[in-house]
Amino acid sequence: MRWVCLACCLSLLGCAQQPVDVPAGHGVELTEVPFFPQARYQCGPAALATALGSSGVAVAPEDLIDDVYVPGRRGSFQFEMIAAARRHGRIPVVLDTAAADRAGRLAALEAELLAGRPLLVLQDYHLLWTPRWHYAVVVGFDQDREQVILRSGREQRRLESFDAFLRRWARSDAWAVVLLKPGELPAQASADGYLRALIDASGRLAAADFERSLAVALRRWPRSADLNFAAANAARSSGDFDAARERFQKTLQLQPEHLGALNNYADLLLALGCVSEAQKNIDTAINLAESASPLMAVLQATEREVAAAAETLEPARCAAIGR
Amino acid sequence: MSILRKLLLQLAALCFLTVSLSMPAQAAVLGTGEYLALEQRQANLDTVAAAFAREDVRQQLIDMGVDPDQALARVADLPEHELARVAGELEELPAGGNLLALIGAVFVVLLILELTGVINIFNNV
Repeated sequence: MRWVCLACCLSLLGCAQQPVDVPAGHGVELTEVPFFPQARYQCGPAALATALGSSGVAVAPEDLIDDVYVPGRRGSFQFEMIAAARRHGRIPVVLDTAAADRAGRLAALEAELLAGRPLLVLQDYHLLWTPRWHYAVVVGFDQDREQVILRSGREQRRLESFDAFLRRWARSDAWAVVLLKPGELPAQASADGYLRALIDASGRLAAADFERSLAVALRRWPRSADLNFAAANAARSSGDFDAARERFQKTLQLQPEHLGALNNYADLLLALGCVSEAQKNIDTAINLAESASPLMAVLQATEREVAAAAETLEPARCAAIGR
Repeated sequence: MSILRKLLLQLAALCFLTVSLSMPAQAAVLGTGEYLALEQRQANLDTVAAAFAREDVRQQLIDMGVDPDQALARVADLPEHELARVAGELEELPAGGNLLALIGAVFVVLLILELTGVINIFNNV
């Protein structure tokens, strides 16, 4: 991801027809995954349409060309592939495979396939010293024959040995993406990784889908402070102050020094008229934060609001709300 | 015509003023995404600060003509993607002992800092 920015699809080598091997032995193969044979250079749109189709979004590669294809470079950028998936209401998660070893990378592929999800991958079929970047979709995995099964280029069922696949895939730092529906969780990601992916996709998600995804994630990772914080913010936005208060308290119970929660909880308490409670939270935050903290400006703004309210609001109001 | 226009403008100004006065002050609430980004930034700054606090790294910086404290202060102003690169390089600093590797890593960091205008040493060479 760091250095590989652009994927120029290959037209000769990677898309050359190969005789399709005889079907597999043991392993996983998602035979239902659609296939879109790619047009010249346009493996990006074809692979993305394949992955989207598999997650229930029917879209033709031609309709994705404007989104992801860069004619001047005869290819598609990785970030564009991800952004296009978001535009279609999916939550793209980049797998944590860059740092994994060979076994870890294969295990990550297998885990997603077993969950019924194909993987969008970036490979390099370089010719001598010229990189030839190529997007493909992993749809199967044959443990006995040590082969990976791909929708790739013009091949509906391309077989690559583990060795060849891993070598070509390693050049993109093993870039692999799964497209999740709202409410689906990745097979292996951490709470933090999933939350980041969800937040990045949230601009295109309906509020209900976003909240449902958070709720599902919280069932798997109930002790993630950041997930509780996110749920608190979502509840606050949708006007459910009781749920928000509960989630902020949970967040602070899990991580008492969570500056975001201290700040937003103070703001919520202020909205509820609980000035002295708000004061307590924001004071704690400011004492904890380093003076150079990037959060300091926000904390101080909240502190000013609380201070201003302290002079005008009557202390009795908070109790009336039932705190 | 011009009187009417003036009147309309004044009316518009009045509306604007009333609306902005009646709106509550901008709430200082952090969005989840905003918070995560700021947290990441803090983590990157911590990484850089920890690396720059190491005696061998400080010495290396001074040898190359950079004041570590000044450089650290300026790193805080880098945009996020550049800060992330500096932090990424420093995360891979050798633990110690391997001077050559250390010089190499510090050099790469200085190169990034130079390119992003945090320091200015290379054009004096």
